[in-house]
Amino acid sequence: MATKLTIRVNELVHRVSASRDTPLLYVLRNELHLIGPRFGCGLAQCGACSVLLDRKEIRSCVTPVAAATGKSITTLEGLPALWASERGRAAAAPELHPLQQAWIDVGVPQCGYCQNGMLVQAADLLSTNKNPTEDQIRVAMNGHLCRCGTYPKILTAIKQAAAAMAKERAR
Amino acid sequence: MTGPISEKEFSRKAFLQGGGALLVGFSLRRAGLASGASAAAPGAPLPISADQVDSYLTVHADNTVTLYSSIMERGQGTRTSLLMIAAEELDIGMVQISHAPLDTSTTPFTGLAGGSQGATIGGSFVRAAAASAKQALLGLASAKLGVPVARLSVDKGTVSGGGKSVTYGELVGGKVFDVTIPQKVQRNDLGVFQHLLRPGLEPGESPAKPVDQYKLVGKPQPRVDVPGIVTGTLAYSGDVRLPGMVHGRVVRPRGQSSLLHSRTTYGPYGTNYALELLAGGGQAVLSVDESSIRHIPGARVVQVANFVGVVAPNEWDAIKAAAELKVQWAEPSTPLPGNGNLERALRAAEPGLRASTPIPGPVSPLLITEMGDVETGLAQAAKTVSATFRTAYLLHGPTGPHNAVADVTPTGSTIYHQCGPNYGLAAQGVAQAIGVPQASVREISYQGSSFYGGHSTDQDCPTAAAVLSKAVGKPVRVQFMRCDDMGYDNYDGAEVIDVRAGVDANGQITAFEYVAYSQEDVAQPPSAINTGGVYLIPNRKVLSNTAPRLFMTAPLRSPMDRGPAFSTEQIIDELAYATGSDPLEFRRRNMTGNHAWLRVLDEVAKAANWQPGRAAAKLSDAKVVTGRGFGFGTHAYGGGLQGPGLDFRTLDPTTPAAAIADIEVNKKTGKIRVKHVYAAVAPGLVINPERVADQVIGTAVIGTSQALIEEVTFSRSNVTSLDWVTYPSLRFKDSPNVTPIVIQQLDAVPGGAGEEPISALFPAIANAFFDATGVRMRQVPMKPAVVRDTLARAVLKEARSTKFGARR
Repeated sequence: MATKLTIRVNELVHRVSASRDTPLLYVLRNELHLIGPRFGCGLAQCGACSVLLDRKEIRSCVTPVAAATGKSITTLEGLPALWASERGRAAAAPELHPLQQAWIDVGVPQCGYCQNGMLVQAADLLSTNKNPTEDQIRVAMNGHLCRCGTYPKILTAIKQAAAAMAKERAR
Repeated sequence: MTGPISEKEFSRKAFLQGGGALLVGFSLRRAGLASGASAAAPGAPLPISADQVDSYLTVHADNTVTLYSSIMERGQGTRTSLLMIAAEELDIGMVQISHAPLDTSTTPFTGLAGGSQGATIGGSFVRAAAASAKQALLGLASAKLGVPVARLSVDKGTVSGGGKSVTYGELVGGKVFDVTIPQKVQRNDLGVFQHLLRPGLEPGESPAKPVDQYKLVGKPQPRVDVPGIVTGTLAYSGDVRLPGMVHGRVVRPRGQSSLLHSRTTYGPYGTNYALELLAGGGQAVLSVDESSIRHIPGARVVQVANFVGVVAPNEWDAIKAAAELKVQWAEPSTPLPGNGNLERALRAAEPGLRASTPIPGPVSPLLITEMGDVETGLAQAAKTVSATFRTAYLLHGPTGPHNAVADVTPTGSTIYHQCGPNYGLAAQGVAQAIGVPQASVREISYQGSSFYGGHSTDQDCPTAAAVLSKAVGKPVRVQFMRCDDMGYDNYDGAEVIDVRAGVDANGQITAFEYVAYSQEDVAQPPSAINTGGVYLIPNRKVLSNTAPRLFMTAPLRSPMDRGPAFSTEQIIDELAYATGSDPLEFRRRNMTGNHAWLRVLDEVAKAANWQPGRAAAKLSDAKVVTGRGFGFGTHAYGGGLQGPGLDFRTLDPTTPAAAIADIEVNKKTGKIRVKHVYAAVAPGLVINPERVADQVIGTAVIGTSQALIEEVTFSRSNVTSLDWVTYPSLRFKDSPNVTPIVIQQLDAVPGGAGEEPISALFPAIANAFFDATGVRMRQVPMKPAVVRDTLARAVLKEARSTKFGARR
């Protein structure tokens, strides 16, 4: 039964109409028209649907929308503003999150379908571990599946983003 | 090239009066229906005519260009490569050109985006169109500026000469070229296997620009679509939403059953399973209990023959309805052999069974090549080796299962999805399913999750959406769920391969025999190159047997290359070992002298710092041992097929690949870790080197995944690989590091570059396993249980032979 729910996504508050058990993914995509999070398996096995819930990566394909109320949801689209707020800058026209910039500079994506989850998980990783080792990156990213084989370039891009963020923070 | 640029505006009326024969393909290019394309002259359609510049290029008044081709971006950067080729020929900047969406109402055929031929064949079309356009533009500029063509120069679409200048946009913006492109006989690619008269210029071929004047091509360019991907602004097929659209799901048994007695014809394009169900194939529907979903708001069941689907206004409701709908199916009409009995099923190949290739399909057994006499060669050998190799069914497994929106109306229908390599093919299936002429079905394609290969569910899903849309009279979006995608994919065929070979006292290969058994409707039999064609072997025979059809199959990235390379390149290594040789030195000694193959061997050896020596020279009793191995591989486009104008014994241009794998084997757990892959490719002229390097990295990772853990499993009744637990795929922790080596050959035509390292890697890992353990690996995937079993058998065999030797 559809009910009215309030969710906070990318710092905006939305009133949505959905049954409480609807996975967050379908609300984000069909009600809010956010296309960063994607359907991959619906089983929390691949990570294409990942978003940040209070800055921790979750699988939106199995997270009921009701469980996200009262919390802060960040999607791929919200990463630039997240980075701006981390640095205490205004989010009027935020520049890309350093991870997104590194993804472009390194040329990570192939088909790109999984990269939403990769970026979201990497943002979670770098918010708790500012300078991860290669092994730490591999462990943190292990739950995300890429069928194009972009893992080696993701490793490079995360290290590059971590360095860029450290440099930016030191400014 | 004929005709000057027409100053007249094309009008729909003028076109319709011009000739009815072209009506089927008439263009609505400027009707503004396709998002992204600039509307130069709304309402003015153009015919899609293969020899007209206007079919491929539109120059706008603002001095930008829109390119039209049938090459879908499938994650390999091919669209960017095509834009580079066009921009290079036109002398415009990359920011001045974009690619139009793929739309059957506006898109000309420029070859298939299959077999990694997008940049080769698609590129030749685009080069021919752009070079012809450039000639015409120079002619116009000359007339306008009163300066001879020879004294004109072009920079960023501005033609200058005699102190004056004019832009392309000023010359033809919003107008049509009406210029004919010279045509020539070109090889067609996957699916048709013919040589056809069509537009095409190779790099540097007049009037195309000389290769030494290239400014863009051959230098790394970022992909144009990457910023949209990382910011969540690039719309994929799954993001299409139409007004009034409802959500649909298919309801099927979990996992396909045997297709031995299928109702529909099948071919290299795979099976459209929705059509199979509509024709009464698949498992018969005994009953559907509509009351089981009555509690779901607006949910509705649609059943046509054995096709069952549900629709609901809300997507989550549609998912629940599909999961909760009670359907009873009959048992499959034919049992499956079960994974354990696969070899016996494949060996049941029947003479006369036809592999379903396009023009007249080869009949089993198919002799791929034969020279000399294998028995004579074996008799001359000082040492002989023989072995049987086994590979598994693999699935395409895109990260995102296929999805499609179909809008079926009485006046015409449109499907929105991610097309396979054959753009327009899904429209054909839809037309058949809903009983309308194909010309009334428009197919618009978006980027999506890549499934790398021929056809997975890219016909099935839009057909299902169209059946549902027709039934409910609304646009319907069908998202295949994970189990629909994996359970009803067209798989890559498993193989059983027997190989015998011999080497003489001088270390020269004397004989090689390759006999394969496979359900071989995967578009092509094994190529003559991957089965010993790289070597000088006086007595050689390659034979392929077609096994009865177990599953739907279609090409998967590097189809019918894995088994041939896995077996052949291990046997070559065994011959090297038998003669006490270094595996690379042995290969060089026996190779045909083909420059490109020697080049990839030398380059990969150099990158990996290969130390010559006999394999398995440093065996140890340690629990975890390491090894290094080498392998060659390629993908031969059409190599091995019969058909008009095509001799399957001639080797089509191929891209050689060589791989070296460094691996670690845990003898106790049986786990293999591929630590590092060095892979070299020589694809001829490389349009965009970094993007080709991406392909080498990607194929190294996916090749590792396939070789180590990927396998479609099945019971006696249905496929049981239905998610990422039952069909594991390599993850971050186990990903190799990769050193890609891309060899630039400016004097060669561009070749494919999206698949070759996969087949080279299979034997490289297996040869590394031998180097590490002294034991041969005869089957893939090399799962831990297979590794433990292989090692245990070797120990047993060793013990037996020692005992036997002692008794003697």
